[in-house]
Amino acid sequence: MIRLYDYELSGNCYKLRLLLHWLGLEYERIPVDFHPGRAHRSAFFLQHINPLGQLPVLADGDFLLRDAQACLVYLASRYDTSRQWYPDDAKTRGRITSWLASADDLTRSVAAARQHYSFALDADIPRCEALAQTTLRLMDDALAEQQASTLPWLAGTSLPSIADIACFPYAALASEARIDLRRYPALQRWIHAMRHRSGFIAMPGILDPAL
Amino acid sequence: MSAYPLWHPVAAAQNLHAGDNTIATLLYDQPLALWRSASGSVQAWEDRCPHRGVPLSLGRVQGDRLACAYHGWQYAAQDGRCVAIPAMPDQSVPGKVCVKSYPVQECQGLVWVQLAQAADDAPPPGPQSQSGCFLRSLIADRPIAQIDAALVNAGFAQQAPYVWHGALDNSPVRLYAQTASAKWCVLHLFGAQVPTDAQRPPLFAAMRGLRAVIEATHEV
Amino acid sequence: MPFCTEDPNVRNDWLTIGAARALDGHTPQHPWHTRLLDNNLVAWRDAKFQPVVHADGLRLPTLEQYGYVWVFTGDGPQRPLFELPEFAESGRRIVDCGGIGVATSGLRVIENFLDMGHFPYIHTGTLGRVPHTEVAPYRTQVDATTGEIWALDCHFFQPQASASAAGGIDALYRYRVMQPFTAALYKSSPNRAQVQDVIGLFVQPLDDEHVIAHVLLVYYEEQLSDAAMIAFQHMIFGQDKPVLESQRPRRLPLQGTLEAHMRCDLTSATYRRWLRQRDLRFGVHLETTP
Repeated sequence: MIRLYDYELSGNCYKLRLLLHWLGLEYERIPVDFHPGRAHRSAFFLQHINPLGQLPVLADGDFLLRDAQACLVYLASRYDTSRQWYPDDAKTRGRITSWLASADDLTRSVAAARQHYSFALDADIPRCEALAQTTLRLMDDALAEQQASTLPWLAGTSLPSIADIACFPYAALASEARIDLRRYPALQRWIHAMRHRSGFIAMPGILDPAL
Repeated sequence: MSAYPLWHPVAAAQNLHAGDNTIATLLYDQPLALWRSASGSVQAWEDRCPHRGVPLSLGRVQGDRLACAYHGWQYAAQDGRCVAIPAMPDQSVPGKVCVKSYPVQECQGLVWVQLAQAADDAPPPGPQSQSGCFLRSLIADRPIAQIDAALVNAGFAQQAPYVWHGALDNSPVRLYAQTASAKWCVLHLFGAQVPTDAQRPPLFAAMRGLRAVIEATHEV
Repeated sequence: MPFCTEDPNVRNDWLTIGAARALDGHTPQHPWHTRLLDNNLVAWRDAKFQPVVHADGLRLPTLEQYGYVWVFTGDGPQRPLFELPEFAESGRRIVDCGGIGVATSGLRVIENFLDMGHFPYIHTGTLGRVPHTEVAPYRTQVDATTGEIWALDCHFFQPQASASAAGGIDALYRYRVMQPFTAALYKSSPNRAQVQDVIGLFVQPLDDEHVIAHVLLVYYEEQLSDAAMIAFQHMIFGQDKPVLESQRPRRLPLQGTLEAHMRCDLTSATYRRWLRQRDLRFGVHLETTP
């Protein structure tokens, strides 16, 4: 049984909840009291679950894996028989990996600012805003330039890949980091397209189109 | 503002899909919700539900209605009148509950909006029936006056308010400038024809280059 | 630095600054920091474990109640804090869900808490579900003794009314507004017949347009962990937060035609009228405010 150390409001945890759902995999959600309990920083968590004190952490049998992007790669590689989420060819994997790096930049910028405003965690807001603008603009440029092609998704694929999952939550939650999504028109369209994928599930802060 | 009676470009028409998405944008600091009804007509509304002030661009397009995300109040295309309040399904809605809607036109592959309430009969500026290929929209973080100056420097010629003609990567392009706010604008770019796969990378690189040149000038 | 408002509704009443246990272990040399009414606050526990709170060098009268620290920023008489007898009932789980920052007027946060019409749209699948959207008539009253607002006989179909609810129910609710920035919801417990669980919402105003919202659960619950109960509450609050932050104007309009009121908005109308009668200015959209 797959187990996910999870927090309801974490966009990084949501990436795994989303892929697990799209892969049709059953799993157990283990709620971690991120706030106010800061359980992800407890001695037990640091020692046994993740020495970085971060969520999500994935457990598959005895296999324990930290880092949202690493977990996306693992789940797609191990369980995705359709080969949609992490296609086999070298160029696509190269592009996906560069977008996984951008997902880390979103965590450092958008997610950090969001946590600052929501949970009063320290953040260098001007620096977060600058990196957020750079990363969101990078995404908007790529999506705008690929829009007319048959490969409209982030990594230049015809269907969403883990690159799209990795970059989606914090782009969609940008308003909580006080970022104006009207400045990123192609990104708005991509967020809409993701939300309307068959089987999409939402997280708090991202509206579910299905009622 | 003297600009108000004119038509302003606010989006590429092809980006509004009937009965599907909304576009949230800004025109002279006026938040706008753009959408296309299932029957195909484009709507440009003030982006604010008159119930509790939530942006209608967060809502759902349902046929010829836009439903607010907060309480599901539904507003009809064309006049913006509220036609359904889910919390009171058996009661008629008072006629005065209405979203502010702006005059809107589709022309030259773009959606144009007038901020004044009374529609100006004159059509949007620029060549009327020019078919062209929408390339992309991009944001430039400078006031319109600085953008205008940078476009002149880049060899663009102004054909009408907000309409420019020039070349990028040796291809003719038309550029439509939308003043979102005092500090940033949206530039909508069209080419003469669909670029080939080989033409796309240098053409899009030239657009990003133009944006970089615009933004290299000091903010005023 | 003076507080950002002279409004007596806010200055001559208790305001929360958060969970009392946040002060544990802090000293005058290493105080706990927060903000209130555009002021920086520092806090710690003294040698007798009592909370001490200073705003820019000025010591504030302080209360520790219901697991939270409350301060008084005015000069007037200090009326008692509202009563919450369920807090002391044996067998109750008392769970502080932590404070969450929201960029809007605290009055908008309270008004949303009192609203049921958004359940099928914002809390889909838990607190409501289309097509069960009708808000059946209910009633509101203002208590003659306490001056508090009550909304009674509220009910709404809920697919999953709480973290441990097993199926859809017609949930019975009572709402209560104790102060402009504090409210409580009483809902039928899924675990014990004839009793209600209480959710307290205590809003800490940082300024007219920014708050920290604290949620307290006073529940009968034997199975679920604190983390699971908090996760459910955060899911609900996390769904509300971006909607709250999107509302314009940020401050609450108390009069005028900016916002429409229907019969289903009875609690909102009662709350706004109550605030008007108290001549509340803080967090309020005045006609001259942009």
